[in-house]
Amino acid sequence: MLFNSFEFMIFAPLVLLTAAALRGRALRLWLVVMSYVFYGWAEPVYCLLLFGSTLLDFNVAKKIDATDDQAKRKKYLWYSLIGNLGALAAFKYLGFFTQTINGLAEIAHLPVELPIPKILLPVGISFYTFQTLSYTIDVYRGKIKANDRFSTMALYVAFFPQLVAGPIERADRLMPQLNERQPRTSDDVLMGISRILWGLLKKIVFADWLAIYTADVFSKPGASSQLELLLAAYAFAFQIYLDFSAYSDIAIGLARTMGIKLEENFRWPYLSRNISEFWRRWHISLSTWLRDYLYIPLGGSRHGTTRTLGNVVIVMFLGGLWHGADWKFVNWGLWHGLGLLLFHLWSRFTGRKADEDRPRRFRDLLGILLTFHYVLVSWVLFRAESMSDAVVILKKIFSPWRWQEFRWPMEDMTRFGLFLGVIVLAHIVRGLGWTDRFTRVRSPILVGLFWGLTVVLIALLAAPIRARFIYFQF
Amino acid sequence: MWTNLGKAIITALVVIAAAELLARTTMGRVEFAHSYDESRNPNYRRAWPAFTEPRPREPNEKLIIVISNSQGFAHELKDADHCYTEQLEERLNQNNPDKSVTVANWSLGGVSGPEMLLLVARAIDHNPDMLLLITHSNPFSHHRLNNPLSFYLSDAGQFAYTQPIRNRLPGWFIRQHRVYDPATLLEAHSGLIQCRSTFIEQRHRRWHIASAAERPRRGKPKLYHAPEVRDSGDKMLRACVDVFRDVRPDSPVLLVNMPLCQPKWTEQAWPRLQSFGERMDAIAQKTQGVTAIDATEAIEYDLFLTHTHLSAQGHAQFADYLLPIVEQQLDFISNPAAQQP
Repeated sequence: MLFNSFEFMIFAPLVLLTAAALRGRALRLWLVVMSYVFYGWAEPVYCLLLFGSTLLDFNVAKKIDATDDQAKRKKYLWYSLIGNLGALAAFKYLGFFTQTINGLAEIAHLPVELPIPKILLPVGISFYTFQTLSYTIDVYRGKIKANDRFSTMALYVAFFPQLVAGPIERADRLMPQLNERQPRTSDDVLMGISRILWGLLKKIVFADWLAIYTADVFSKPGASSQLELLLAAYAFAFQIYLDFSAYSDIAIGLARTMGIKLEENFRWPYLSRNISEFWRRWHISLSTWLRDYLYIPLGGSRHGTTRTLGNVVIVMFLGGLWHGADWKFVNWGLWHGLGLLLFHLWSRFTGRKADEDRPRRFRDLLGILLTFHYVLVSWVLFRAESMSDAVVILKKIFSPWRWQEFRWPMEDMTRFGLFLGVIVLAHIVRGLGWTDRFTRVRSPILVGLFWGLTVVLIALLAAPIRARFIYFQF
Repeated sequence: MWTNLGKAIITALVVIAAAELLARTTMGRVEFAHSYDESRNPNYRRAWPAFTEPRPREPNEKLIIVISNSQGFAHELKDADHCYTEQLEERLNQNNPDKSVTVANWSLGGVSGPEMLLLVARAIDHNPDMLLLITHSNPFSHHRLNNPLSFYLSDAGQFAYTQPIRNRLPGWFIRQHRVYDPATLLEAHSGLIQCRSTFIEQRHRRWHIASAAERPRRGKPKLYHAPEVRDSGDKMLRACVDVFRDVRPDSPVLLVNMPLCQPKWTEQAWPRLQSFGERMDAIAQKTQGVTAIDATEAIEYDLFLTHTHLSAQGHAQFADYLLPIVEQQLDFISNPAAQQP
């Protein structure tokens, strides 16, 4: 079920109002059932996979917790890793691996051609796999105790606001909130609804309008002009940010109306002054997951510069592969890995440390623009229909400007320019720290005014196409 | 908590109601083109409810409604007065100086069978003296049917949410096209959404009038395919006739298998396109007051700009072709005595 669909407009109030009247186990069961309805709305069969993953990690975690024998604990952890990552590999990467093997065989002139399986990717599998894995790993590390309540575990894995596209929650933070009903204040409900509406505005108005333009240009890069491609790259950079952060806003808002606080997933990433800061502001729940469960176990920065840089590249390679079974995502990850590597070397050379809490100054503008444009290149790799398309687009953008071929890129440039202008302006306003006072508004009349205006803006400016959230494909 | 929530909700509702009122007032002041005055809908795929709004007519004012596709819309003609509908109107008025004949051109580029049925159901409100459905098989081919109404590009889908038009539609049509889409329901009844549809979406390229003639191609000329028409297409075409005839049994219906440029179609496509005329004929045989004609080869091929679109001369020739057929069907011309009180 999509957050921007009519079904969800019925589903959400029904679930939230009923949840307000329930307590304890009944509340958890209600939310579990409704989360499965939400997940299985389009393809009910994949609920089995979700249930299987829940059952596996619930039992494995209990077994790990029940023994002090390190060898046994490790063995159980392997069960979870094989089960979860095996399902992920089978459903998400089998086709990709087969294609890669066939490609390599062709290069080596070997008579091998494996049949490519056609498997429909279960929505959100990458997200909930990482979430369940983090639970089992945390139990293995002794960071948390295994949960005795299956209903809590089932809800932790399937909690509908963040099930399909995150934020990827940690058990030590979310499970206690799901175990017991959380006290809910007037602030929670008002701010929760405001956050939902804010997310819908970002998605339905801004991201979806930009999607129309980017879809058009990226589908025919050969026929598009240099300027069209450059504008499409800018448009996609904002589209993916608005699309994904809108999903997180709606998820956080929905949970907040129930008194549950989810982790923030974005903190104005395009205001980052360097690539390292970007990754502390972009998809925070994934970057911290990769840091805690991959980068640090690999050795982190504890074994010298070469090993650190190697670890960064491995993590970003796998981070790219997590996004999708395609070389373009791998290259996207490697591009970011290269950026982090260069930044690390630069920091060592200059002796400066990144301080993201330091207020922004005018002289930071160069860093912000450089970081944004470095990331922009990665979005071309990410959005292009194929790696060869990405090469065509980047070649065209970076070739000498041919002003004689300059033409107005689209029929309705005014609307596109206006939307892009509003988004950039919002970043400038935020960068200058002028938005803080608005986020502290608690007057119900002012909040109601915000709700009303947001609904009116959505009704007036909604894009004619209801695009899926981009991160649904992962 | 509930008090604060109540205050916020009431404030939000007041804001939305005020905006809706403002939007309705704005929409009430916007003058839309009307099919009695304009040669075609200048808003292309938008503002169909306003373009087809029923209007009172003078006693001697006769009305013929033409429902067709891009051939009738004729976006390649800068001057829409050269379109065959306008030329037909001109010829009918010349031949019948005591009458004022209006030919309303309800041609919609890329029209589908379901949209045609909705326009037919709307045409009933106008009590036309004659209804012409000029189409080829494509709008009734299987891939153009069985989709939710929101799938189709025009805002003619709003008719399905407007009474009494909705009541005229067959039950299977409501189910098959899932006419329960809240967005279209709102679009049909909310000033705010009408504002969006009119001022924001209207200029979007998908319903913006595209470039005119076919671009020159290198190499072999492109040949067009014609998808298959199945029983569902027959059912839709029959519904177009039945819905109209059930309410307006006295107004004749003319089904025209439209002129096409044979050399621009594949070998497999041409028999399919021609057999659509036979389907039309089968329907006409079974229903009184319905006539079917096959005009696929009525126009010389060099008067075509594309596989379906006509040049100005082609439009003139088609108007000449239609004139005697229409005159024969119209009671006030073929049998003036019947018109006397």
